[in-house]
Amino acid sequence: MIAKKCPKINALILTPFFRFLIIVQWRRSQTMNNIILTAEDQQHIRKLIEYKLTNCGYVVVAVEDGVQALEKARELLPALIMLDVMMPQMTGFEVLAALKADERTRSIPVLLVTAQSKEEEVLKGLEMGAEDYITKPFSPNELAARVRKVLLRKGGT
Amino acid sequence: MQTQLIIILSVTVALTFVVALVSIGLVIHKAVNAQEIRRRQRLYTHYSEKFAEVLLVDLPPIPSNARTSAIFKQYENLLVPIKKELESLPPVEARLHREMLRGVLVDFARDLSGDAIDRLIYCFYSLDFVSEQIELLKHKHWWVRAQAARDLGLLRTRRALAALTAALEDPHQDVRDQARQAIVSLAGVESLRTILRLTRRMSMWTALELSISVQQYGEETVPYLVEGLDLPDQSVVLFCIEMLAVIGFVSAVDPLRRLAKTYPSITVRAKAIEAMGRLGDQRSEDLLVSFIRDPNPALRLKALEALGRIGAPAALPALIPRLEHGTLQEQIAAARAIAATGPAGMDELHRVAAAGTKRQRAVCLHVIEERG
Repeated sequence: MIAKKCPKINALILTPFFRFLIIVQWRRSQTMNNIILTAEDQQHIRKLIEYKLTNCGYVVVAVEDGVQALEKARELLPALIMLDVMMPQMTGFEVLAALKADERTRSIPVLLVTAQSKEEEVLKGLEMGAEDYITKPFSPNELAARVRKVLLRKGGT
Repeated sequence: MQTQLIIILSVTVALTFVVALVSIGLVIHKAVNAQEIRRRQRLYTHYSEKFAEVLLVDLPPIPSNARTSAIFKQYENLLVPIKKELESLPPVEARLHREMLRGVLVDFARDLSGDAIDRLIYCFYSLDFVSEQIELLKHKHWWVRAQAARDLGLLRTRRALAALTAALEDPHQDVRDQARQAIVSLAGVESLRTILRLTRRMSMWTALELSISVQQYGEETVPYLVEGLDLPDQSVVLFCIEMLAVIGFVSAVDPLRRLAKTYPSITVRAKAIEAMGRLGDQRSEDLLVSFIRDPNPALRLKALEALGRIGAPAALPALIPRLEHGTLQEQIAAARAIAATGPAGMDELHRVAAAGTKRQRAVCLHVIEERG
């Protein structure tokens, strides 16, 4: 419609370079990593995060402890990792340290989930290289917004 | 001989049989337990999934001027499948399902905020958990009552306020503590009046927990704390004094003055004097100076310490005799109070350090060194 009314735009769209750009963008969107790995030992919260982020269009992989989180992170190289600080086997901090020590996972942004009033936990996490944090109790919408923000900052979806 | 052998053999066989029977019983018991745990786990997972959906599913927008009932109707529609499922179950089974469902709701309430919590509260009401929990506040086991109080607080059930207030007089302290926290989360700072009025012999733990709430609301709590100074329970009065000193609101000085002068208990009077020092208001000076000459050594010492915090030059003439003739503790406190008055006080300390007795010299030199 616009192209019919504006022949100049029509001409632009038809240029090979513009077509090339469109194809590249489409290919990128098809292959773009939108996997989010979430590690949370509390089942109800794990389900809720899974549900919320799936609804937002992400592919969510949920695990229940730190060891599994590390394994999955190395295997999937997700776009973002959400780590609960208090977890069995390995704490969120231990997983974070291991992720930052590994060349392949170092650049993956990490969002920490921590209990309210644990300011020292937040500071420690940020110092260790976490991208952002969210404190419990949290609003599911806020969670989704923070995930979006972190991914945008890292140039993801 | 043969008979004896037969008896021994019979006993051995019987014992082996009993041991085997008990072992089998234990194995069965363990298996049943494990099955029950798995069943509960399955139900928890089931309801976690269902409620994650109920809490997060997008609802069609309704006009801003629509009645609250329109929103509730939307929430109610989300609950229909769960209610149908519960209704279809036999009573024993339904009880277990409801127990797991309540657990899921409470766990969500602990970790969530925002819009989700509104739906959660509605679900708690609609599934009739509120009445059930209120009823549990009268349960014979204290731990059940304490948990019911905690859950009612977590799920912001204002309807439970009266029942929770009654639970403040529960014979078990844990129930009272949980009820207190629940009331604060339901009714906010105003609840402090009722809580203080109904609290008897406040424990350290209770004081600690309540102080967190008081500090959270800050200066808003001052009127309630000042009212608390007139309550009959001494532990509550001491708590109110401590909190007024922590918050540091100067309007508390007058009630503290009154308390320091007239309260029957020396402990409370000493605490009020200490609080006046921490508040650091000049209006307390004359009263604190008068306490320097009080016959009670505890009040004298507290007054000297309070003057040391305030730094009152007008008190200098009254402080010098205490430095010269008081007990060692009083002498140290008086020297500190004298030093806090400024250059004139420091000169006085140097004078006594040069010409006083051995102990006076030691005290003065110690305080001069302290001040650098």
